[in-house]
Amino acid sequence: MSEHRGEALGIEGVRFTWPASGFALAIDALSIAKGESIVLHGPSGSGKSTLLSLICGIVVPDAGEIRVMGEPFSPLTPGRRDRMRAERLGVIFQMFNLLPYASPVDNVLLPLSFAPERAGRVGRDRVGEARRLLSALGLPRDVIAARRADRLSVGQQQRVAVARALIGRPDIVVADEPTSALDIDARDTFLALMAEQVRAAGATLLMVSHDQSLATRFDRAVALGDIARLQRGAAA
Amino acid sequence: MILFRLTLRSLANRWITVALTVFATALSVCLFLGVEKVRNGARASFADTVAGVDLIVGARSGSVQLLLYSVFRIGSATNNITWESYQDLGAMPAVDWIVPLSLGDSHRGFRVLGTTHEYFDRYRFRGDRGLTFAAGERFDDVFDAVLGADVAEQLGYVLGDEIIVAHGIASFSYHDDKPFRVAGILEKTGTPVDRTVHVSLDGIEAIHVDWRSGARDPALAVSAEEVREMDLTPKAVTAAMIGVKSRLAVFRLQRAINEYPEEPLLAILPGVALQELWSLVGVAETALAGVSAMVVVTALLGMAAMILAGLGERRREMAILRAVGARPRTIVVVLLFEAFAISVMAAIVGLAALYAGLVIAQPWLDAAYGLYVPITPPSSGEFGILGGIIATGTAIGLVPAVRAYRLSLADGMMVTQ
Repeated sequence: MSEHRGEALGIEGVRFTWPASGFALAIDALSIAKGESIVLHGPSGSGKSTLLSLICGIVVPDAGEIRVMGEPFSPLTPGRRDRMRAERLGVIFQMFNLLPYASPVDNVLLPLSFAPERAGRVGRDRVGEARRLLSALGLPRDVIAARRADRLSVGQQQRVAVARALIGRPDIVVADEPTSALDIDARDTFLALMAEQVRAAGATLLMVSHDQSLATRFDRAVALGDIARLQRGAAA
Repeated sequence: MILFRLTLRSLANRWITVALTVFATALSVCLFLGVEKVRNGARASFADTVAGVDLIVGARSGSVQLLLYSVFRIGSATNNITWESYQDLGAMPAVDWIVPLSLGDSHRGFRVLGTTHEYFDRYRFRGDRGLTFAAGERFDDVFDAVLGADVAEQLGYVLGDEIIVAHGIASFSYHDDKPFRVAGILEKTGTPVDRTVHVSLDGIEAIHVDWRSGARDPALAVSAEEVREMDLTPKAVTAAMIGVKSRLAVFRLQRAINEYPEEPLLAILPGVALQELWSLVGVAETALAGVSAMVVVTALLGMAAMILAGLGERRREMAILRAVGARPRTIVVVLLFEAFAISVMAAIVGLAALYAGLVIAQPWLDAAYGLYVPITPPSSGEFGILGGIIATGTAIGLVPAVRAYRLSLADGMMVTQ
């Protein structure tokens, strides 16, 4: 894997077709360096969700290769892919990131059950680390101590999701439109905090968004339309 | 472990549906265990109808038939034992005591039993309980009668009331020239004793001295006063209860009686005959157990349906778990654990409800039906049943679990709700 040293995520010659809908996506090349922060933008229906499913190893490309930290995802068994996702990736969705009935701290601790290496990096005081991350993301003490995550505002929930993505320092944080439910002020604060904490954790940040105005906040901005070719339905 | 804790919180989050499901399943568990308890109680009560009696002897017939007419007062004897044979039996060296049973007459649907004082000492039921008097005492006079509890209650008799014995069973000829007087009323026993009118052997003989071939012979008419002066030794009895000096001698004595040369007799061990009879009645009991088992299965299927119905709303939860690295297999484990947890709660609540119900119902069951259900800690058999229910519940949980597995494979991490 030495030729991919310094690379966090690599995509080469990937072809994928959803068996049910026939929606097909092709990406010839994308490489993201370790520690880089990158935003991929494209309108809805531009293949963002498909790309995220591929990157997270939920689906496997029909052709080509996806590498996470130099290691190809595709040839692994489904179980190994799930394990790799747990260890290497932190995922943040648009909204509804949290188990509503669990406390913010339990939500943050959730990935550690599936990622022994991340759990090992956290050490013994898991709850302490979860609290530290939550408070570094600007959540007040009473919010951190809440009994249920669904008592939190949407903005607070998104910050809990960032803490969950970061606990145990995974290699890559993947964020799917994490600010779409926030107003502009909240969005800017959120993005600043997320970027700062991802940097502090030494992780690579890959964010997907339809909002082109965010480009300046990232090391690199890529338009999905420039790297991906789509084919809709039937023909595939 | 956090996953199991979160599963419990997820259940708590849906507490109304979960509580209803637990309640429904708990009721079925309670019903099932209750039926088992009553079943065992009924069997034990039945087997305890006669205790302390080693052999029952009657004219030769079937053992169940002998048991039915001598103990349960059902049906009639085909033949009697002559008084001479009865005397011979009593004189056998292995015999400790012998009590005669003379049946054949009735009083308003209740059987009349002619016997001796010793009957009240020797008759034992439910372990070692003896007969006790609620009022009055044993028959003393020729025309004294002792009523079982049901007889007194249903016919409203008190001490001193006069009763007239009918000749035979369900007949319209009465021994109305020689009425009996209620001398004693027994406590409830939950055995056929409750439905019996007890009189002395002399009494039975006295009302029959002027009867020939089933009808009163006017030529022989003897008044109630005159009969007291006569020799009232009976010519025959219907059956006899025997106690032996040494239990080891029971089988030898049984054989000796069965081979008694003067007259064809049959001696039975009441315990064995009761078992034999129960195996006939026991079919209904098995059916009852089957029905309550079906109720449990129905409740568990309801639980599976509840979990299944909830899956749609919980696809988001599954997607979150998948996104943080859970394998589809983990989703299966989570849902099986859910079914397991509900089953365990149902088992605990059901067991608690059973004991609460037992504490409330036990005295009533005993008083109303003579059915004694002992309150004892759950037996290993009952724990086995509970374990079986929990295992079945968890297994039925496979249905929603497999469905969730499919859903989560299809959804991946992307559910837009």
